[in-house]
Order: sequence, then structure tokens, then C-alpha cells
Amino acid sequence: MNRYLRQEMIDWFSQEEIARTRACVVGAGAVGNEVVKNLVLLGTGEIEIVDLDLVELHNLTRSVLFREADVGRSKAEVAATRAKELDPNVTISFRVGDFKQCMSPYRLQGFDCLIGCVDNFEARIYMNTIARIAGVNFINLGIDSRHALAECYPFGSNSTVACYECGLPPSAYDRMAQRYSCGHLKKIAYEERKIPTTIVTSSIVAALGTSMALRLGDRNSGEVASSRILVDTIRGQSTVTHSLAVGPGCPVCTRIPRDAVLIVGSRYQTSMLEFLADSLDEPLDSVLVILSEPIVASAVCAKCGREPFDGKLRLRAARDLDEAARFCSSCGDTSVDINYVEECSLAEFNRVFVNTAVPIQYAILLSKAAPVCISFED
Amino acid sequence: MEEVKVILRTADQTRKAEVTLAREKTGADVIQAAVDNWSLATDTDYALVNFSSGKSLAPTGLISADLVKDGDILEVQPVLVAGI
Repeated sequence: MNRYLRQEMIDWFSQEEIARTRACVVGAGAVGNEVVKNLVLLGTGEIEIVDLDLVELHNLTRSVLFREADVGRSKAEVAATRAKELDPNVTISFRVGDFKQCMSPYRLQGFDCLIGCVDNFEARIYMNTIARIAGVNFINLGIDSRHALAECYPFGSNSTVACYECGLPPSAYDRMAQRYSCGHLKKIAYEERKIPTTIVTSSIVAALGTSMALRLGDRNSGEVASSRILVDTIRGQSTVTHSLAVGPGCPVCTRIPRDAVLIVGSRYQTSMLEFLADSLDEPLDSVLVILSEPIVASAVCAKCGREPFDGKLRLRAARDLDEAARFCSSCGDTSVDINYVEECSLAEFNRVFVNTAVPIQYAILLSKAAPVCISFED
Repeated sequence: MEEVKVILRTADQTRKAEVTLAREKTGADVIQAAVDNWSLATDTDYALVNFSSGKSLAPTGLISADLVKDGDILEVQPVLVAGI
């Protein structure tokens, strides 16, 4: 008996295409559980699950792949293990960690779709940006206690479509800023707002998201616009927005050229950059390097004038730091002034990282030649 | 000053009004006016969609004539952020 018999009876359904699809699912919570379950039952070829959290008791009301005995274990690992039981034909892997630290644009190019099942703006913004650079379709899913929101950004078909940040309102940036103090330092005592959700909204949004990710029924439609479906799960009403607008001044679309060529470089040595520098017919001081994330340029105590922790804060990614970084290990005062670099010249970049691992995932090089995105790999 | 007369409503349709908007307003301006006048939850972010055309209006984009016509229905939708 063929496992996929009932699906293959559908005239617009191609089991072969589904079996060739490689999906990356970020977030293995309520929505992630449902998405993974759907992908596996449909016979998706490869699935990678990324999550840094552990299973908690309250997750069990919305997570079909978790059991009470799993409390305290990694969500990504448990989800991968249980999903494998549903269909051993599907290749499933997992990564326990922050998506920002374990996924580069180059690695993402190995997937056909990126499905965001996360709970914050920052993760969505990062996923959106590297999906656009890598030319991989991005599916953004969100819920509350009543609504389900599924968005498709078909970067794999068209690099000129609207991206997630094109439609992000100013209030979202204000909300994100509340998580930080002194520039890019995370607040230690900041408590995330808990949004009530149920399995009803997560299962509906996961069904829509899976359909979008696998392009069920529309593989030949030539769809080229970003789109959104908002469902009121109580009234059963839905609003379909078939064309999301490109936002004037969008931080991603204005900062990252749509025609940037993606190349791979080692984060441990800058010979690639030197090679690039040699090929550019202009002074390296005039080539702009836009970093994917802010990096600490200097950290000096305003009181004693020394660099705390023997200067080890320098050249770390800002995402790794919180308010504790203002503590001076020399004098004990909380007076460390931290300066960040978000862009610099290629000459300066080469000088700074000559003997230091690059702590970010990618950088954009803007010169007179075609724009380049360097994906830093281990 | 050029204006356009539209129906503005929330996604759950509990709030609905006929309003006149100046073309120089942005999507974010319309959303803010809806939040203020209808006392919408301020711990939620919102997006604006032209329900009649099936196209969204960018927060930074103007309510221009090619995007919004007299009689169109504009919908204020929540930007959903939860997923776990």
C-alpha cells in the first residue's frame, strides 16, 4: 500500500515535488509543532527545525508533538524525534540555538522555504532579511487568541516583491526599542508580554502556512506578489491581501540592493575580502561594508578609563550583550561606555578583522562594481 | 488639498466609519487615527489594507489615488506576533 495514496489522487498535487522540497522551520512552539506535523504528514523531503527553547508544561495544550515527560528537553530535538515517528521517509534534522547565530544566507540557500513560527519582531526581521538575500521564499506566521495571520514573501521567484519590513508600522520599532537600553544592550529585567493563544489559531495558521510553503495548488500560477491571509477564527471570516505594498524607505529594501551577488567567505580569515579588494578598481576606503548586526567597536569605563575584561567585549556582536556589559571589571562601577559599528570602509574592516573571527553572519559590500553579500561561514 | 472618502473598519468589524482622508496622509497616519479615535488596544501593532482592491498600504506610503479610491473599504488589521 502506498502511504501517500490519497494525496496522489488529487490532480493538482505532486507528491514528487513535495518530496523534493527542503523546508526550514524556525520556532518549534505551538505553530511550529503544527507546521512540522503538516510537512511530515504530506511527505516533505527534508525538514530542519531550529529553536533555542526548552519544553515547558504550558506548551502541552498547544503542541501535538510534546508529552509531559518532555518538559525540560529541547523543543527542536523533541519535535524532530516525534515527527520522525510520523513518517520515517522524511529527513528531519534540528538545531538547538538562536537562528541568528546558526543560519547564514548561504546556508539558507540550501532550502526552498523558510517558515517563521516565532514570537517576536527581531527574529522575523532577521529571517526576512536573509531570505531576501538568499532568494528563498519566506512564510511568516502569527497568531493571537482569535486571529491567524499567514504571509508569503516569494523571494525565490521575484526579488522585487514587498518584504516583511515594508509593512511594519513605526509602533513595532518603538516596541522593539523598549527591550534595549544604551543603544543595543538588552534589558536584563525586561519582561516579554505574554500573548494568549490556543491550538485553534495555531492549527489554522499552520495549515495556511504549510500550503503557502509547499505552494499547494499554485506551483504553476506564476504568483509574484507578497500576500497575506488574516483569518478571524471565531467568525470564520478571512481577508486575503494578494499584493503587499513595497514600503518607501523600508530599512531592508533601501539598505540591501536587490541585485547583490551572494558569495561565501570564511569568518576566520579575510583572504576572500583581500581577493575582493584586489578585484575592485577603487580605493578600499571608498568601499562601504554594511554589517548584518552591530559590533562593539570600543568599550571603555568612563570612570577609570580602562577596558573591562581585558578588552574582550571589543568586536563581539551586540546581540550577545546585555546591560551587564556596562559593569567595569576593573573599578566595579557601572560606567562602561560602549560604541558600536554598523558600517565601515572595506579598508577598516580588513584592518580590524585581520586576526579575529567575524562574529556576524553576513556583510554587504557597496562599491562602484556590482553589490556583493558575503556570507561568513565556519 | 485633495481628499478621498472611504469606509474605515477594523478586521473584526466591531468598528466602522465613513471617513474623509487627505491624500497627503500615510498609512501610519490612518492607523494612528483609528487607534486614537476607536481606543484600539495600544499593546498591539496594526497594518492597513485596502479590502476593496486586495492590496496593502505601506505605513510609510501615501494614500495616493492609484491605491485608494472613493468608496473603498480600508481595514485596520492586527500585526500578529505570537507563535509559541
